[in-house]
Amino acid sequence: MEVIQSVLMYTVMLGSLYLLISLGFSLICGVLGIFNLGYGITFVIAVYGMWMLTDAFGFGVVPAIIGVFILQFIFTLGAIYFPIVKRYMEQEEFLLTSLLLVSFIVEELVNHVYPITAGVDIPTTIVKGTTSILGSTVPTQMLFVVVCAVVITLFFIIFLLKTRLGLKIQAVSQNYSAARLMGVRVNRIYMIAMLLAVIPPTVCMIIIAPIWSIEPKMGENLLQSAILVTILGGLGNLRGTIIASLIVGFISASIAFVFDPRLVNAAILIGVFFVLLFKPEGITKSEKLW
Amino acid sequence: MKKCLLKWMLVIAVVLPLVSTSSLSDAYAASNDPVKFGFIGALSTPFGLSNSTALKIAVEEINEEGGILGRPVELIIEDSKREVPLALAAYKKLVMQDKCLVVFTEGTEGTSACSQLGARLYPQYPHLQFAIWVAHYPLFDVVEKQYDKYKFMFRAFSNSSDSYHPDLHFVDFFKDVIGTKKLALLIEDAGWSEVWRKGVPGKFPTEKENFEQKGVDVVYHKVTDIKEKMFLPILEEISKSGADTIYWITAYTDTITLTKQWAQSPAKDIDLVFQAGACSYAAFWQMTGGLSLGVASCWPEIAIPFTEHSMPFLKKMKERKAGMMASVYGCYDSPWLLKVAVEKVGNTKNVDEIIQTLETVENQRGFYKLKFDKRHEQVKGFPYQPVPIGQFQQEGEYVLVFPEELVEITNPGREYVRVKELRKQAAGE
Repeated sequence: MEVIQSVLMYTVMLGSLYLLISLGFSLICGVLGIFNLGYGITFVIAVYGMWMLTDAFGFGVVPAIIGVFILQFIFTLGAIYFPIVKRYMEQEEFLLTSLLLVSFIVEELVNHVYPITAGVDIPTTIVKGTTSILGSTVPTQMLFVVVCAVVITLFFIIFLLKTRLGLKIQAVSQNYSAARLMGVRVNRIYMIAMLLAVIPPTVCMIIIAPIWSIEPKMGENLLQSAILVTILGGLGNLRGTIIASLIVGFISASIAFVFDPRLVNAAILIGVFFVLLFKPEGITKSEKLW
Repeated sequence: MKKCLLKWMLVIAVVLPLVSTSSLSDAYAASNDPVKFGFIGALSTPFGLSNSTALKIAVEEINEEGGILGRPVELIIEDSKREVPLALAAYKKLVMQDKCLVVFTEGTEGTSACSQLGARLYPQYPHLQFAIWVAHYPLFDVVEKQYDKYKFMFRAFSNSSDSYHPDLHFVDFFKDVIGTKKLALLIEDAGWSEVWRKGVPGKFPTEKENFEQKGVDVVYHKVTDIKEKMFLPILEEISKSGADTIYWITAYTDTITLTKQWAQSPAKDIDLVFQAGACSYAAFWQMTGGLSLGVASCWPEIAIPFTEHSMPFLKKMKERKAGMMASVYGCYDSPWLLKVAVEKVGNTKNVDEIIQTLETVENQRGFYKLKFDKRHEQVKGFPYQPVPIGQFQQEGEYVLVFPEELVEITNPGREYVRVKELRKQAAGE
């Protein structure tokens, strides 16, 4: 019974974490129809940007959080959207290579300016200590990961289903040409989708920094997780991404508690493989954003 | 006949000065040609950065003090990017093309592969290999077993299997210094940790057996993935195991994440000792946002004043933003030992003789006394190679807590404090 409770608890926690990691990637997949291979750098900019603002410019925590969102938006537009996405949207091979290249360049620069020995850490602990729930004792900060994942997902759902702009984004994701013929300014929608996509990873890093390491190459692993969850859920389908996150969370938790934590990564890959074997399009249909 | 003799004399008169001039110019060139050192490492990693920087400083200082046999030393650095094929290509270039006297190699897999290549090249290109972190057990006593083939290889920093060496008194640290009764033993799953996990029949016990044979009860034992990021389930199980100390044998494991999660888990009052990794850096305190209070680690980045050269060297490392880690001791000190050996031999051509000399000489430059045993492994136990252990105490002070002789010269009177006590002190209780 104790093990079941622990598995349940960790399924929710880890599922929320995977959701925050992959939500932005999934949105770009759904709206722009591309694999944003530069997505991993968003995580790096979130933490190192915040560190730069607090350490080098003396910002307080709250102004630094606001500042890092502005920084992310400027980077997304100035280094990703206008010079790469807008220009190479029709030439996928250039697009993917350029996105990957930009992410490597930023990663190398960050590694040069702030190597691991620089001791980068951002003070975003909301509540210190641990909390016991369902027989498990977990860092209280992890509970905020759950809260943030729920709030951001709800925001995305409401925004996409209930607002005019959200409906336009959905329209572009379903049929780009038809949306354009109906008067939707597709390039503007792409830009908005890319800006929205940086919100979940930025929030994710701010919340998990107190329980996660900060290193220049952290984006690579997180990108892999995002790709895995998005493929499992059905490319670009947010509903699928939510379900896939919980499935990956469940596999992680059950393998860690029932078998061997060392087998978690292998089990996730095998799990995804079997799902794709029977449902190659992923858990949900990938033609729709929701 | 006379004509013939005159002709020969003329020839000799013309040729002899040419020959002697040529010999002299060869000798002159040889006396001024640099002695070349090569280094192969993953330069974008903290390991590569620290090792190459330590080596650069050693070479600069050797040159400032007149070089080797009056000849300058030139260091050629190659980036292996932690890829074996690149390491092998670089090794070939350094030995065959650049004619390096010694090549420093870093990383388990790259170093092992370079040793195999070096053994093939040695008959035609006599050279030395100074290996840093040769971890694979098959290379542990390979010099002793196949001397003629591998005599060119020396370990500028120890093989991890040598951590079992009784002169290091490592288990005594847990038993006598911490007071461990029940241990949670975790070992990362990597090539270098194979001996610790599996032991060597008839030679080494597993690390679990090693502790148990010396009277420490291992109540929790797991092999962990080096890519692991979510340690909370393991920490939760450890907290229920009754362990009073966690010994996590790490090198590549993300000790930053692990420490952050440990400090916010039910296992937070159980003492935590790491083998190596980012935890060795003094900046680990900042990296973990101060959550590493009480964490202990081998080879801490603590300025230990072994000799008059220790502190100036550490200052230079800091200025160049290079972290201090275990292998740095070997990277800085071994070129000085080589200088002693070469100058004793009197030339750099007779590599066989240099090898034989390296087997007998000892030297102390920046840190402990460096001397190789018959396995070409560093002699263990202070004043030779110790295993220093440090602990993060109040305000992030990295305090040396083991072995006693080094504690006396570094921070006399300081001792290991159990993590629960440190937390009480921090809370002002």
